[in-house]
Amino acid sequence: MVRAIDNVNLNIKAGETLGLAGESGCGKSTLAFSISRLHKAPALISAGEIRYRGRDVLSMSPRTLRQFRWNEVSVVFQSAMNSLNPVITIGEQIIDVIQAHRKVKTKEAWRQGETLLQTVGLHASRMESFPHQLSGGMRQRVVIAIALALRPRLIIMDEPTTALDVVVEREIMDELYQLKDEFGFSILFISHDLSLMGEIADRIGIMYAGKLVELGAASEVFEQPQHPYTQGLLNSFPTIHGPRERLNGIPGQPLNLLDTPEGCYFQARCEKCFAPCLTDDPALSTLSPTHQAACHALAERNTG
Amino acid sequence: MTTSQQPIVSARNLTKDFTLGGSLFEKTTMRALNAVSFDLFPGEALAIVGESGSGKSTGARILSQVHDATSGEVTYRGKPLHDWIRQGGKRGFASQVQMIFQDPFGSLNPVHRIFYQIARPLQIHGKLKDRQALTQRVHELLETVGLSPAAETAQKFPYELSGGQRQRVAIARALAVEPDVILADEPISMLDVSIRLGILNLMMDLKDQHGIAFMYITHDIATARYFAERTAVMYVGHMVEWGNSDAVTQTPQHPYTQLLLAAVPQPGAQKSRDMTQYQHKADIPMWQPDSKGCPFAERCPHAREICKEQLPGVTQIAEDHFVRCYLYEPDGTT
Repeated sequence: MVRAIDNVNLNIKAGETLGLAGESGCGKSTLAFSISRLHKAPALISAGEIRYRGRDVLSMSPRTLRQFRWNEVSVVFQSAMNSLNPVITIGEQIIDVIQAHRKVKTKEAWRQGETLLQTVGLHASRMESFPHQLSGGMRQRVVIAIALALRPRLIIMDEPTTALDVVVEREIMDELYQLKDEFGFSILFISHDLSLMGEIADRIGIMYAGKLVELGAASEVFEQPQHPYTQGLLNSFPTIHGPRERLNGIPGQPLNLLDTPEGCYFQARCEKCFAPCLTDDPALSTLSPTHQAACHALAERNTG
Repeated sequence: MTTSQQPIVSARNLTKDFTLGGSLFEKTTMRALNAVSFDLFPGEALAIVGESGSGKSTGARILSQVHDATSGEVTYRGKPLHDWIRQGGKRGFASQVQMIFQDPFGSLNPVHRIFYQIARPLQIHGKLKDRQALTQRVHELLETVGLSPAAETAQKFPYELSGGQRQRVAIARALAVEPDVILADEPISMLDVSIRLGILNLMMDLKDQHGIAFMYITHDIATARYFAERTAVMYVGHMVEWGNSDAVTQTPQHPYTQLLLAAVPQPGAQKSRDMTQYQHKADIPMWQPDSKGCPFAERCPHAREICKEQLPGVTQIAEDHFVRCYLYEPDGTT
């Protein structure tokens, strides 16, 4: 058995963008799936709770869950470009979502679909197109339009622009932010691209091997990263400006969750590793009202 | 820098056309590369930066003889590629120019141990026959790429290694035949962020210590500047700007390079950069043999009549900095 997420506590406020960063296999997507209860067996939530505006998501009946999904929380998946059905038109896929949740006539749903496409910067005539007739960026816009269709309060975006070219990524992110200003939804933004996250997120959480190792306001995480893993990650991206110097990144390999050590999961790759790291799992310590990190070296510094 | 040296690979006016579907009588021709020229120097890296579909991989594939050029010439050590192949066959040429691919999960044979993957090129190219020498060389190569203990790694299967370790095996395999040139096609884009830098640093050491010339194909202009001495920016099959990496990234001249750099995310720069001057939704055009003008004209905020009529010539901005844009042509002012 693999523990994909281990004792993670997070809040997302209304209208906020929370970024969640980490390497592949660190559990960031599993977390996103859990919030809308999209995980499938054999995955199970063995402990913990998920509350959405006070309601317990984990105890919802299938019927309530269907109401909850997409009306309240929608998801833009990682391979969003390929999550469209290739054999039916864009229009059919959009009205399918609308009619599954709302009682509206096909004509009305179609009209709503056209408006949606326009909001994401596509021409209304694209309703007639098939996915293969659109470029990757356009397909991504369609998927965002579908996520927006029912005006959810939270959109979970799992690596929404990873497969896109940087210029297209920029266009889509700019549009998304205009839409966010207009509709006021919250975003849970999951990505491995810390630079992009630093630009768009209000707060950032860093995950390593299923654990949340640092959480703070974007500026805190970027300017005063406290966890050695966060520091290493930030030192892994060459910059466009600034001096051209050798960066060192993080030594070693990502942790295999089938073979986890006692104590801190980051010990094997950490330069600051000392005795307690080999035996005790570090807890999150509070560094500022908004900033927390889980590292024995920090706890040591705070207490003595 | 090394400009006094002879280039190890030179490409002149390289053009590559691909014929696309359509019916028997109606075929479309796409020009993936149009009159591309570049030089690669020993012990130096040239980064080719561009978006998907810009033709950046096509150039490398011509160098490695996966494709033939439609027109133009490639010379290796001053001699045309075809002469090399006539004399030594494709295999002889392959022992001097090697490739590293994007996907380390697809480029290693899953049913063979790591030892086999690296020993194979040594046997095929007849470098070593004796089993003991072979084992020693394989272990040596694994150590070079930082996979120690080598004896242990050699006995593993690809599935037992992480993505970063697999890419190191792919690099060891490319090194086995002691090439002079390595063509690295997006070698880090499928790896985890924390290990990308390790692979880049390894390639940097190989370049500096073994004098291997690298052609580094990437969509990430920041890593291009980090790794490569020289950078060429490609757009729709054309090299639009090239030269010293610092010059290209710090003082970009071509409007496309400027757009590309403005699009790179920068933490702290809060959501405010003005990109509206660029024609957003203009589709990236498909270049055809009879297309004319500058490929970027439709999206360019500075486009003029002439940009749609004729491909701009090459203007030298600084000692090692060139651009293809009418804005900088001496007689093209206003």
